[in-house]
Amino acid sequence: MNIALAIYSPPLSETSLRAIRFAKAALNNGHSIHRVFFYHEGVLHGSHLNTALKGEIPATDEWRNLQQSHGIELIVCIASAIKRGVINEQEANRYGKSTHNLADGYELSGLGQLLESAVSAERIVTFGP
Amino acid sequence: MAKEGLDAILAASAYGQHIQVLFMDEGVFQLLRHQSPKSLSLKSPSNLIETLPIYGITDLYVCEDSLTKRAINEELIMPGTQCLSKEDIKHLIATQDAILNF
Repeated sequence: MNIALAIYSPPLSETSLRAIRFAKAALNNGHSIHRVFFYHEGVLHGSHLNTALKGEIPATDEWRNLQQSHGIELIVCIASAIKRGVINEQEANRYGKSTHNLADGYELSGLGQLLESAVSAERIVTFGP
Repeated sequence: MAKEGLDAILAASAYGQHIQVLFMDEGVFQLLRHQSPKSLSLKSPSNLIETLPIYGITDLYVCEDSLTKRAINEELIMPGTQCLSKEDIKHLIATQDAILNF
């Protein structure tokens, strides 16, 4: 089954960890995940500055690994992201910020990507808020 | 996530989808009229919701049980929203192609 995910919870939340476990279980059971859409507080997954301490699960890296191994698109809602300090080079230039932090493998894009997922995937599974 | 949900509704309408909106649980508070968010430098969700028909979104529903549990009289909420029983909601959900919850 082709599944899309929407994540509204921040990294380190129980819901964020549940989403990672769900994605791995789905992929291990032969399902495909085309896209993960990070919205609301979920956009905080997109910062490469997130640093897991020893024994903690690095959610940003976990999704990046799944992106590389399974070709999953990691889409971060651009409006939610810039409000929360998750920004790529282009937006940093636009808003006059001296630095940017969007992690490799993640993309800033609009809500249309969430809606396209909802329409094209067989199931959309929401995590959070 | 009131604002995020409404943003998604507007984006979906721009995307040409037929949209039905159900307010339930704590979400029913978004429908309360006569809110005064200005004193907190905020915007009222109900003002935005009232503009939804302009974008072609006219199917607005509210969960009857959620209103009752919060002692919200139907007269206190925006006109043009239709109250649905648990059974009605089951039917509404069963007839959708896709569901986004906020």
